[in-house]
Amino acid sequence: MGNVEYKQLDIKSIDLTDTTFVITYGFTLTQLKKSIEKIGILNPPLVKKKSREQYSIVCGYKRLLVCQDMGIEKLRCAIMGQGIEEKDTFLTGLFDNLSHRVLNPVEKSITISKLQKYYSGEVIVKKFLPLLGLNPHYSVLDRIKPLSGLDAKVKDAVVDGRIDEGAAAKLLNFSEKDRELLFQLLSVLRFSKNKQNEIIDNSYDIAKRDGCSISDFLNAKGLKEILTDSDLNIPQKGNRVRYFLRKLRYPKIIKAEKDFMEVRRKLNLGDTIKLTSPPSFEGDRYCIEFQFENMDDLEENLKKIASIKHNKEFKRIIEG
Amino acid sequence: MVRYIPSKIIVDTKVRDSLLTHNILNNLPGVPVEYVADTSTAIDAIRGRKDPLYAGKKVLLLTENRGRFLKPCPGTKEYICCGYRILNFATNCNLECSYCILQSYLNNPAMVVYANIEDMFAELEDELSQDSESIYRIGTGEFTDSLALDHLTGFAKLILPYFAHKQNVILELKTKTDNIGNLIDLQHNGNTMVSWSLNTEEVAKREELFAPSIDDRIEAAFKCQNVGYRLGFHFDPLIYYPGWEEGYQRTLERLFARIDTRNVSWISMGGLRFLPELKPIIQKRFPQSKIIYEEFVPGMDGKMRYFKPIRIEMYSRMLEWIRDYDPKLCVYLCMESREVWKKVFKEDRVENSENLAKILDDTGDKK
Repeated sequence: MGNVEYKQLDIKSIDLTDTTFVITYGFTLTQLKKSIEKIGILNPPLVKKKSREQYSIVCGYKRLLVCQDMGIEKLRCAIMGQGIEEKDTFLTGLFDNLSHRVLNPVEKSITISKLQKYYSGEVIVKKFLPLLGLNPHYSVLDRIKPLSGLDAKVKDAVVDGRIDEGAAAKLLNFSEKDRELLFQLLSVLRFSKNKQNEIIDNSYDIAKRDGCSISDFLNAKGLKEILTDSDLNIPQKGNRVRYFLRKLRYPKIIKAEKDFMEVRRKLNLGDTIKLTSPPSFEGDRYCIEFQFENMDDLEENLKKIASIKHNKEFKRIIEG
Repeated sequence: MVRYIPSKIIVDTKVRDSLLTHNILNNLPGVPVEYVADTSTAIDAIRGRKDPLYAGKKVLLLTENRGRFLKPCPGTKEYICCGYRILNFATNCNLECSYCILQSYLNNPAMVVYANIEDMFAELEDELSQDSESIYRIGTGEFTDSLALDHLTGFAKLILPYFAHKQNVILELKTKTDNIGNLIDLQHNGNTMVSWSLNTEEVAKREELFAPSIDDRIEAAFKCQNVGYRLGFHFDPLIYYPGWEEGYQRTLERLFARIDTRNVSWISMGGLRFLPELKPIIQKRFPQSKIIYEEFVPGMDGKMRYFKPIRIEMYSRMLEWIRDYDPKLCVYLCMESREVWKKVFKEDRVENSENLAKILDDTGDKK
């Protein structure tokens, strides 16, 4: 870090809009403010001179924001030596952050974007991803890097854990308008991580296959009706929206599932006998499972099962 | 077709004096050559590149195969496999087909030629003499295109005459190229057949970027037919898209306008299938491709496959169209279930992999 000089600086001389060395994102200042009000600033912020009268922040961005908010005019700061290169100044700030906290996904993405100014992709993957707690693979780099380019509300949702970072990164594959629509949908229906990815993947696939935009089918009548149906709670709406998209994405498979369920219903097997198709109808093994209490019960179930083989519709499904 | 020329050749010092190494270096006089005692550093360097699959295709790595050259086809027990054996003399391919399974299958992204062919011939000699009663159907086109590098390696000139004197071998060279220059004057004694992977012209243009057009492939087959080679055609992967019927009918029409069905040993069909890991690779490397957005389901072998009724429909129609040209042609399905075989062929003629292997052994043996 070289020689550091401590000096009382006018807070106005520190350019709080200059985030060259700042990676901090997604924070609240409430607790820090309480602490500073109570005991003051124990570690002075680290700054670097950028012009005759202006300084850039290296470490202590949040502390400076609180001071500004509290109306503090002068503050003791550590000033980095002038001979230090921009790259090393950035690394000073990065290592200071890494020494006392875990970066959130957006901060990791900001870090990667800034490191790209100084290092090749190979160095970032091999040297810096492990420092950020990530696996040293290009696929990880590709997944994390885009997050910093997302709209602020999506980034906030990632930081809050409302949206999965992988799902959020995928949103960048869509136009701004489509991204907004999908984000709204995910926010309203509060899907789990896997379901968020399912919604985004299915939407993407449909749009690519049909050469249309997401808004073409997300604004469709059927979907709007689900979302505005006041009789449905959020999980019910979520399930219906997923089905709506699956039906668009996999029309033949959904039709086969529906036909099978209809035939099964007509077989009148009751609640105790469970008839299931092979997964995705790929194999040729169907499964019948049942429970019974006594011999009469067993016989009744077996009779019902025996009747299946005479059912023409079921035979058509099995034999094609 | 533009023939493959690498940007760089890396030679493992262990194969410095091999015949294949000499062939390749003589055929590529202006290309930089690096000799290495350990190939792992060179491979790691390619893996570390931003698009290792693209970067790897520019590097031709000549090294030794430390394992066996001859291996059974990696078919899975859940589906019926043709049971041929793979002669693994090279891996990877420069043709840049969007759907290529090698993109997610190979660990080494370089174009690799196993140059220790002296070991390969020793192994073949040993293996083929063990069971002189059985037919060995051997292919070189599983982990590479059989002929894509032949203008550099001259491999055909070595392997065809060798097999020409064997009694119990059918060698199948599978290719999408028209790189048949070395084959024309070779003595093969009917023991080598040449087969082409065919598709519709639309699929070839959109998805098989550096492969020759369908007409060029058929023309190459025509030339091989004229010098007495038995032929095979593989409609694999069959691609389902709006207009597939017309597309495949047109290809069959062009094929049988030039090729006499009596010279065709077999035609195979297989629907597009891929490991789930391949989808994001295709999305990234071939963003214009739409083939992965049809209705796929996880197969019993873990690969994604078209929903079964789609496959049955495609196979059945193709079979009908092929039968219109010659009802006796041997047509088989690659990696399909007994149920699908039964529904397509309307009979239970192939119950398992052994049945299919027998049919193909017998068909291939009728020279």
